Amino acid sequence: MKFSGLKNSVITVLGGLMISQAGVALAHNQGGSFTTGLAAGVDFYQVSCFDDGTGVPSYVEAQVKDMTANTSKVSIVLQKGTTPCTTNKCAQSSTDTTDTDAAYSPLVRVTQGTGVYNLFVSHSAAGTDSYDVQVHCKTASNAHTGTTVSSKQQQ
Amino acid sequence: MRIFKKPEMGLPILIMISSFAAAASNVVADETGNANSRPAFNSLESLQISCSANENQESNRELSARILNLASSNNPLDRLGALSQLAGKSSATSVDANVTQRVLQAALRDPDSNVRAQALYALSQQNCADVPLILEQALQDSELSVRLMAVDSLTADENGTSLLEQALNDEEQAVRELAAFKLESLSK
Repeated sequence: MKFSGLKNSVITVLGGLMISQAGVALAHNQGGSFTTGLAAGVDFYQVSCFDDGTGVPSYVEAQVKDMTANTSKVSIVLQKGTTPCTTNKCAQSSTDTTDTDAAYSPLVRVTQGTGVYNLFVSHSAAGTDSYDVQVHCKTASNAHTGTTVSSKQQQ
Repeated sequence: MRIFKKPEMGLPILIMISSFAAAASNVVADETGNANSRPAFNSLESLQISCSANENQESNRELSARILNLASSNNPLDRLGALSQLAGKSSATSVDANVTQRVLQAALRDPDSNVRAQALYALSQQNCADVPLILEQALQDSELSVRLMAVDSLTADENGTSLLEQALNDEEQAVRELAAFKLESLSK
């Protein structure tokens, strides 16, 4: 099941939807673009993970698709917490280096349990790049659980 | 709109920038609704392009059909996706030249400025006519995304360098920034 959102929108998907029968994974797609075009532009989202009845969140996984073919490449950084980052990484990054295809960047995972994760989207050069981020909160048994995405900054 | 139905290989490259003055007076609606210091102006609206096939490459029918289908979508993101794929040099060379031309020609008149911008970059990766002239005209566009992509598409030749230097005076910081970045890259 796929949900697409506009900037500044909040996307909420509740668990309990009848997905398991079809074996379809829930996906959150957050679309956006760098409105100022500046190379230093950073879009900032917060991803909240909660138990929607499916199970307690264990980790978040995310990837990005750079939808604009140009010099600039789009990256994400997913982050939560400060300690202990040695056992489980607190931050991970992923870049879509091929912006002329429909594929996403490598999937990255941050395992920091329930709560709010920070998701930063940046690009390597000036350009009004459009992008699409897929983000999921999951339980330790890899079941999709409660996820909301809210936009905090658009540049 | 004039579309070349069957571009021949080796067809003399043709572009009609029909009337810059007429185009300049052709004010289009600003689909973003944003206040802009210059009047809305689609610099690409009057352009006619001509693209020819790569003689050594057989076109991929399936890929060509998929791109044509995406380019015909009502969803601007689909149209953007079609043009992004055309911008990939490896795939672009296997897309039918007729499809390439039709898609690019329509995209240059797209109401979505991001689609028009992506069309510019895709055009610059193709075997199409008079790309430098088109990019020069695009630098006058009212939309930031179009001007940015024009700068991004400029090459290291004398004309490209001259246009990049011209873009250093653009009213938008992002355009000036990208032009400076490109000039620095080209000088290395």
